Amino acid sequence: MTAAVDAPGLPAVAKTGLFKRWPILRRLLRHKAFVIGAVLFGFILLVALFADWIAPIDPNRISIRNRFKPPDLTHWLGTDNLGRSQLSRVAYGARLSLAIGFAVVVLNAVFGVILGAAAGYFRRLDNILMRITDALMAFPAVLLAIGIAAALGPSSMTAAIALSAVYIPRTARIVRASVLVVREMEFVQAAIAMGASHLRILGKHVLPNCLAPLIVQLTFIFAYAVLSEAVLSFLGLGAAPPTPTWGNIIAEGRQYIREAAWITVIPGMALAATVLGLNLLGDGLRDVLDPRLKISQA
Amino acid sequence: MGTPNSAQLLSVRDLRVEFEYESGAAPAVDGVSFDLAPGEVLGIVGESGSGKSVTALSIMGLLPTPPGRVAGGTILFEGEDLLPKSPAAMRHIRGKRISMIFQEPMTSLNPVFTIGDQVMETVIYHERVGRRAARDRALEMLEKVGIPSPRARLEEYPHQLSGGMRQRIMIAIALACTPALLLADEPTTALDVTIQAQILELLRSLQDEFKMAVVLITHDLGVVAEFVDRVAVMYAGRIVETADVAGVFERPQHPYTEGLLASIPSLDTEQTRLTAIPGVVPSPFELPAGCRFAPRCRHARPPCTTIIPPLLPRGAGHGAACIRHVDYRTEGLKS
Repeated sequence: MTAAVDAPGLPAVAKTGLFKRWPILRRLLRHKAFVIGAVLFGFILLVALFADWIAPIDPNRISIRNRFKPPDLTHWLGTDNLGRSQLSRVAYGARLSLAIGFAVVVLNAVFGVILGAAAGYFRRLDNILMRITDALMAFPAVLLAIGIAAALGPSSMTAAIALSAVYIPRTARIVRASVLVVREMEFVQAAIAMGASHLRILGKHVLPNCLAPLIVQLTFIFAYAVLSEAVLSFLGLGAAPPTPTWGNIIAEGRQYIREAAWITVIPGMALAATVLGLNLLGDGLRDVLDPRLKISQA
Repeated sequence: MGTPNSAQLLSVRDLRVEFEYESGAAPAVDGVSFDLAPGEVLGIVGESGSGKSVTALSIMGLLPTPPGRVAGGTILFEGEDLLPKSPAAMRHIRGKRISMIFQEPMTSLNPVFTIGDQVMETVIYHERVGRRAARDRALEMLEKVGIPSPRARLEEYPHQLSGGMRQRIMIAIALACTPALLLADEPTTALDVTIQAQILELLRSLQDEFKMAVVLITHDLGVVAEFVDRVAVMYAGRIVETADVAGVFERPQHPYTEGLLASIPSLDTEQTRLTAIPGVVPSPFELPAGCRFAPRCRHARPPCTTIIPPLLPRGAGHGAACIRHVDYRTEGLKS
């Protein structure tokens, strides 16, 4: 892992400070799946960030004369049953999908870490916290999300809350498992012997050593959240139309799938690209961050 | 050995530690008493499972509870009993007045922080000094423990150092707040023999410089001979013999100590087989009544299996827990 070993065969950029500071970057860039995933996801991310620049037409501007236009030079991705620009709708849909996915990841990072760390470190809490997560995990993920979203009323906010509630138990489990391993390590014992308090041990010695599996898990959760959000809005439990989301574009377009397949196929492809990109990214991160799987990247 | 001696730095009296499992309570330490003067070095010697590490962990208040439990006794440190102290009060003693170093230097440092961070952490926590002052202290400590180019090492991560270097760092961390007592639990066991000698030499010189007391826990009599002033030999949770180093090596008064000494291969004689004490340490669940060494002792006689032998004085500062210590030596001559 030293600079000397990795340097040969790499372009000159490898010698810059960034790689010296984060040697892991170099290994990530050598991981093919990670690079493909990063490009796919990066593309979707750029589309979402610059949606109003890429697609200047209002996604909700109806133009009955231009209904069901297949992709051409004026409407790059065609128009839907109300003549709305598909490019605008899919780009703005990307914005919402990624925003919800990101919100779910943040909520997972915060609550998953708190619950997982509490369960793994303070053993008294373990049983009760883990039985609650077991109960939540016993439901199929999408079914539970549908239930929560239906109970809270459809909106993009409730979709984010419902999806967080579904995935936080999974994150908490991962964090707990890592905490259980790390808390038994000698350096934790050594820190206790040096008079460190519980909070200090947890924050400084245990959690930083649990980051790798958490980062990988959060990448996958991002992918699941984007996919499940599409499911929720397809079922009418996400952001309400006319706000474009990939799920409700597909839902509205599905009756015209024979005549105007681009209405459903394009958001479907965007969804597939996002999920595939995030999964490849997560696989790459896992291979690089998890020392036990090092062989697989050779 | 009745009342604790508050004139000593550390005075352990009748310490009893049990481990409670579903199958019953296992006494890991059973009535251990010893004193330690300021600046004195005591070696606790024994096989695995003899209770030596548990004794050290009890002093630190680091027994894994449950299943461990201090069932009785007192641990007087600087005149105060440590056992009833609150966790918060113990945190202020640990690392500041009593420090501990462990067997495994490879895993005793946090892999995600620099050496400097980890040495500074204890100083900042216990002495409430700023980062700059803590850094100066860390640098000074790294120099003291013989780390080459200490300034550069402060920025390095544990994986960049060898085992011996890491143990030096551990010692630097342990001594950064100049504790009065250092507990060293097999500090050289995981190291190469040449490195072992260096670490022991370093501990000896630092002990001299800081005038601190050291409890060295080991199963290696060679380490004991080089380093300590006084020895306590433990067997199955009890101290069976205590004496100064010369006393233990030249005039052992307990058959177990004799057995341990006999099992060290000698350079002077040609040996084909290593001498061993027959049998194994009894399980803490099935401890024999009377003397716990009796089942393995070739000198055992009927009273040995019924009477618990007290630690009887055998000359100045020498004690042995064997009821037959007077006659077993002459027995071979008679028969």
